[in-house]
Amino acid sequence: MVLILIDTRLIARVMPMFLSGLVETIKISVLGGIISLIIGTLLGILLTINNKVVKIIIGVYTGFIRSTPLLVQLYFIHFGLPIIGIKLQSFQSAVIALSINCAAYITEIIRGGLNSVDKGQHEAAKALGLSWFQTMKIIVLPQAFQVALPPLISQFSYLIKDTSLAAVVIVPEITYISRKVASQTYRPMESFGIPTLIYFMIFVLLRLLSNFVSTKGQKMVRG
Amino acid sequence: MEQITITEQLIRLGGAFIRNLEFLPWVLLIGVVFGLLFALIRFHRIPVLNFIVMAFVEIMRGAPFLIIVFAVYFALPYMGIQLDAIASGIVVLSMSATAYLSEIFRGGLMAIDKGQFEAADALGLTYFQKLRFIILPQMIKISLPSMIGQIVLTIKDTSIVSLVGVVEIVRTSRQIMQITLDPFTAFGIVSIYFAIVCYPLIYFSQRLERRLQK
Repeated sequence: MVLILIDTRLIARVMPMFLSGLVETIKISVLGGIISLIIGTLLGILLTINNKVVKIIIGVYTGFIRSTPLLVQLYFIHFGLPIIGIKLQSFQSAVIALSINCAAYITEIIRGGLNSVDKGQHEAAKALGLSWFQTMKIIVLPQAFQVALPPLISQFSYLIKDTSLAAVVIVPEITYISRKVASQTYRPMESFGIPTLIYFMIFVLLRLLSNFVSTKGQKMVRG
Repeated sequence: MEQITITEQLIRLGGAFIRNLEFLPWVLLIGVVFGLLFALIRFHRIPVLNFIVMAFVEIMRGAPFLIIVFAVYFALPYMGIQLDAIASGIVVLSMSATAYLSEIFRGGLMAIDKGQFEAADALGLTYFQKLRFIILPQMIKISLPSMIGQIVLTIKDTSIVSLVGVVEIVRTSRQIMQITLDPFTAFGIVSIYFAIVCYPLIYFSQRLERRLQK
């Protein structure tokens, strides 16, 4: 029954800590999202060039990343890079690990988007005398992104959930704060209820955005 | 500085990895049974239960796995339930797997043609006969690729329960690393073990998915 009694004064007292944690979570998510989007898009485009070696290298990268736990990847970077002389702060290793992880999934999404663009579009662009770069920039990528946008948004919501692992290398984001609050106050309901709600609200917002984008995209395709 | 040879590391980490995989049968059993139950509750929109199940599933999917692990680990003793590390690991992994599997199954149920349900009713089958002979076989066929994907996620998530004291592969690798001061070998072996098990599953599920799309 103790669990039902929620201490509102305690919530008011710990809320600023959670908000600072939220800021940290958003910082990691946005940085990781941008970096992984850039890497993922580049690798996705590289896959469309029919080169066996490139395909195998990217395939090994995405396969390996997707079949190993993020926690191990984070440890690898956090403890491994200092050995070869790259000094990292916790925040940096979290961003690097998350970017490398998320980029593998984004590569697959972008590849799917690029594959969905009709071959006729490439041929038409060629007939217009556009260079490969122009074709990609003006014709192919905008269409590919339209298809890829909803899965990209859900991938981004996975990324935000994954930022919780940054707590393991002591980045003061929401999950780290919640554990700290729990061990200081011995009130698990408030300590874990608040962060769960924060994450949940972000998740719902992103899903609404994804639904909105996909229905709007369908409307545009239908004319 | 104490040294541990690579063969010794391979053996110790391999033994620890079996502990990760030992979670799997329990989690899958609980996840499939409750996942199916939850999917049916939501599919038939059973009042009240539908809302409770929906809230559970959405919170499980919306919150990071790590925070659920911490919450269960801290909250259970607070409620007077004493569980050892492995049992609480099974509880959290099953909660998460149940939520995701119920969504996978619900998707499978919704993909089945309405005519199948009507035809089963017309044949005068009872509800359980209908499920057993008509609905479930089709649902499983549709859901199989995503189910395999969920198995991969569960295997990867077992790494996280190391953070609340289960001595499995990731925890063992950290202990080894603290002795050898060589993170590349220790975590490299861990990655390879995970990849050996998970990559074929990912590949198989992608093949299945492509075959189903045809």
